[in-house]
Amino acid sequence: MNDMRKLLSSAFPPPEDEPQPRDVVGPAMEWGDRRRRRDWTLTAAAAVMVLAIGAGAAALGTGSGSTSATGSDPLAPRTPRSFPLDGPGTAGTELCNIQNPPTSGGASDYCTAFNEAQNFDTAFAQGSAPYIQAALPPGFTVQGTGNHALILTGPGGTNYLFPSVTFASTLDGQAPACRTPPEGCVQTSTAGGSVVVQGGPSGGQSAGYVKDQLKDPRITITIGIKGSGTLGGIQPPTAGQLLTNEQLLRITGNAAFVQYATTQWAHYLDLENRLRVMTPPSATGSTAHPPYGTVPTSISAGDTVNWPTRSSDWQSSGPGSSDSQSSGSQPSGPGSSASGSSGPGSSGSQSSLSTAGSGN
Amino acid sequence: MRTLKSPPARGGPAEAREQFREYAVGAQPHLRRSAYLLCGDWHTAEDLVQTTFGRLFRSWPRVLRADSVDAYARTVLFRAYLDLKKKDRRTVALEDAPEPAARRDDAELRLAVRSALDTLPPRARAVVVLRFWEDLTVEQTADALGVSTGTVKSQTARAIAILRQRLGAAVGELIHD
Repeated sequence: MNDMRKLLSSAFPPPEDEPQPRDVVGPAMEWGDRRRRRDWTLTAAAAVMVLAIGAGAAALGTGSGSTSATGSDPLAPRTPRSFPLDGPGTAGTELCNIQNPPTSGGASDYCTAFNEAQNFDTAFAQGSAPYIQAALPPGFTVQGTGNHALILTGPGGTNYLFPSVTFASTLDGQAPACRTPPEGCVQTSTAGGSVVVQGGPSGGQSAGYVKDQLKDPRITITIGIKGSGTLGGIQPPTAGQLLTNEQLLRITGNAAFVQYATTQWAHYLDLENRLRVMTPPSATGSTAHPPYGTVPTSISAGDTVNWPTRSSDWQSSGPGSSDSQSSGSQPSGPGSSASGSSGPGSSGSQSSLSTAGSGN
Repeated sequence: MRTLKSPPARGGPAEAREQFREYAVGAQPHLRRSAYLLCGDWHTAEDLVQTTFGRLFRSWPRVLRADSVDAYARTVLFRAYLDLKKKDRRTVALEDAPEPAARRDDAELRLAVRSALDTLPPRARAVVVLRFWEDLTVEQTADALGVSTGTVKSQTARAIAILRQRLGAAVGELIHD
């Protein structure tokens, strides 16, 4: 054995020919630090996801869209919201983004509403900044990015924040929607004591089950937080998770923020409802249009360009303000579960906390 | 190989960092030389040591709970090497391996040994270094590499046969299990 060791020793150059060892300890510690922060963030995310999934398990099981967005990456490019009646390549998607968008008349109104709804996630996140700032502990600041992320700066560095709002994931602790009553569904008497329709309690006696046509004024606010990864064009985070879960909960429970989020969510639902009854533009400029879900054949997917949003009209509305753009159009029904699949709930998939705020 | 028992964990994060740094600075020369025997060049050896230290530091509190930090580090190093070789499956065909060394002066012997080591498959090379450089038993070697003792024995026999063939009879006499 010693002979073999001696043989192996002969593989080394003479000591004077050995290169000076480079510093590997410092870089190794830096790498270890980064990985530990990531491990910690992901561990926290997993724990929070358990909470979120637990809270929304019934909804998931019964097909509600309010919590179906878990598992997507908040750093991924945002997919525009899909409307309840939209299928792939529907009229709004195709025609409100062509090179020469309509500038007047009903088509313009349609595209304004359409694009405003499409940009809701970004606008909501940016409008959330002052409310989140007001609820932050001393020493923290938050600023917008022009994207669905905010930059949180604290004593230890920066994080991404992903504020979002969606349907209430639970209703008095129960799933708000179901498809196969009675199993897994909630009697409306349990949910609120009266039938909830078209945005609020109807006043009528409960008589049945909450179905997937429920439109409840309550909301779920989610704030995702990430200390790693990179969002295109935005400076990457430089610290591990800066806020504790408790601190995030305090932000989502802030009354002014809840009021803001409720107002914005109501506005989004209103946009949806307006779009249902408006006339989409046609490819030829005519207002005649095929039914929703019909794909126009004259427009190619490559013709799309960004369409300016007018979400700034309402994104800075203050606490408790009402949205002047809320129209009197009659809601034809609540958003179906499909609307949640690419909605803001996805932003909390990595690390989020949600709380139901009562809008009414 | 030194067989240091794990030092007790000290204080808070700052102390832990300092403790890790002290350990790493002390362990680096030996790990570096072991890594050199594994890969045959200093640059890659230092990359392996850096990888090893990074993984150790990432889990430093857990590492400190191990029976021996040195054994833990050795395992990480050798597995990092095998991971590296999995990604880089360059092999040297036996017919392309250098001829047995004709002369035994230091420089030529060094080149011959290094060339012979280069002909070994990664796992067999790791077994040779662990068994004959680190002086580990078959069982310890199996534990470090996460393989069975039978695998260690067969890899050892295979490696020695190749080294004998490559290094020639004179040097080959030095090689015995």
